[in-house]
Amino acid sequence: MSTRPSRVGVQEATQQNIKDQYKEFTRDLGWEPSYVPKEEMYPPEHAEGVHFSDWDKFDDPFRLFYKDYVKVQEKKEESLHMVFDHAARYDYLTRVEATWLEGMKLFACGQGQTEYETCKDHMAIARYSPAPALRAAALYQSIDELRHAQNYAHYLRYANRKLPGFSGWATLFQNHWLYQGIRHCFEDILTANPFEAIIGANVVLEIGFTNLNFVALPAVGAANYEYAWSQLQLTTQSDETRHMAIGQSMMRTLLEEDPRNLPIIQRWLDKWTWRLYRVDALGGSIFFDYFAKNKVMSYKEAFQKYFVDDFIGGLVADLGPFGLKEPAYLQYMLDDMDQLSHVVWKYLYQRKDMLWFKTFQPDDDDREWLTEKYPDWPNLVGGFWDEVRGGRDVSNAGLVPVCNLCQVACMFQDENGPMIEGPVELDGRTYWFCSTPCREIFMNEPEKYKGAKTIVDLVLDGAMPDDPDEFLKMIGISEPGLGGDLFAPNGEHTHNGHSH
Amino acid sequence: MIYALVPDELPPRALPGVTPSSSADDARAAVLEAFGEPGDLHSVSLSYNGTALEDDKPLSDYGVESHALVRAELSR
Repeated sequence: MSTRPSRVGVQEATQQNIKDQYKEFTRDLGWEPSYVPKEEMYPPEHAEGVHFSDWDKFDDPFRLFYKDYVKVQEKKEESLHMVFDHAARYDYLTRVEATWLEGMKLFACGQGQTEYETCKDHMAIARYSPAPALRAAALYQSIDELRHAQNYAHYLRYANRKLPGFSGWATLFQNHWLYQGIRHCFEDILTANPFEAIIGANVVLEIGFTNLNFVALPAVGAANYEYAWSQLQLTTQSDETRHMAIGQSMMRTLLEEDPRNLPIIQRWLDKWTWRLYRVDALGGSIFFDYFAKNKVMSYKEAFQKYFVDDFIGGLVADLGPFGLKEPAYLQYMLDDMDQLSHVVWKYLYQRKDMLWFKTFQPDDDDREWLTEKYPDWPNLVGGFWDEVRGGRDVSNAGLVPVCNLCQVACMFQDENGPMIEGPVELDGRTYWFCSTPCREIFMNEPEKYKGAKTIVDLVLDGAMPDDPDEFLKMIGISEPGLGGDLFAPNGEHTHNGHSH
Repeated sequence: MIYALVPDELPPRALPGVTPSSSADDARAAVLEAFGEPGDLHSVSLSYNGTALEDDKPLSDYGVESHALVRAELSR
């Protein structure tokens, strides 16, 4: 009589086999070194402050084999490039709203470089994490981020053949004042220990902000006829689900393991929600509220839904039982919503000749929409735009105090007036801060931050030229006329691409 | 660097050439240069830590150091 195993038995055997195989291919890669002490290979400072008894018990929520990973990613790439090639065949950039296209010059360069910075961050985690499972997960993620960076480079390469303003992105990211906040923030993640880096990158950035950038914003892009870029955002987001799960799993594991981890995680959550808010919201908000000619939702609405309700609400509901609270600086962010995109857009317009993309004054339709979404808009910046319309020269190319943490000009205010803090003297140097959260985060880790110089510090020290033409060349503005006004006073586009 | 802060015109702007030994009049001239078109601004009043900078004494007499934020009110 046959003794074939039952179907259930085969399934169990297969599952067991996959689990063993996974262990062999990933977690068992955490061998005991014989040429160097383990402490030298994984220096203890990379687990600084974290309480965990056995790093081998740390689990990766995705038991992913490399061959399966490659197959899935290959399909994603095929889908993306099918859309790209199709769009390119019909010269689709000529159909994208001109205002949105200017924004893409800023976004694609910044996002591509940010993806590459995140790739480096995860390579560092893959190298230094004391937990073998995290090293394996971070390695996959670093490859994901490299894929994203290459896709933005592909977009820039295509756009650069069609229009000005899409070249020179490496120099712009390195030297232009507009990108220094992103650089500083991601280099902060790179130099953090792996657990702090995962709270910053996988929890706050991936869960908190990627739905804004890669789900909400593509809807706005599509409404402005930017279909290929929207597809690029969605393929990027398809990897983020895995990244989010790594972050969630790590936070829960640390909180379950030892209650002494709670204040450490809370401190990192407080810090990184603010740091990434300053970078991501500052850049993202002007796309929802200004670059979009066809507006879908305000940044304030999107932030409330995706960041406050979904991310913060979900996180506190999930991990609140362990004592985790909402981020300490959340109220600052909520208070900031009514001014953020408007003061940033005004500042960019005042410095439009130092940019590689064009800005523009809001037209009557924009003003009506902005006033509906932000009732204080007329008081905040309405007078400024009236003066622009009246022909006043509002340019401001001089030096301004720049925050020594977030690297953004000190241009924010609250109900008590300007939020600027400084000058603060520390070890013979002077520092400025745009707000209380930036000052507090800086002063919590002064040894880490005090050596960095803002672009204004570099000009004052003579490390960057103060001659306007030389300065522009150094920050990557090598061609005249890339910046400036998109619309001439008579309302015609000065953009050398197209109009609608 | 000494910066001038005009509450409605953030961020503050640098006042090139103004030092603690400059006079309040020098500082006012620098504010006019930094914030206005020629003929656009009619008057500038300055203060530092709540004290008006009214006469022609050096700014250092008011406690202004080489890195400072001076408040300015403009009338157009």
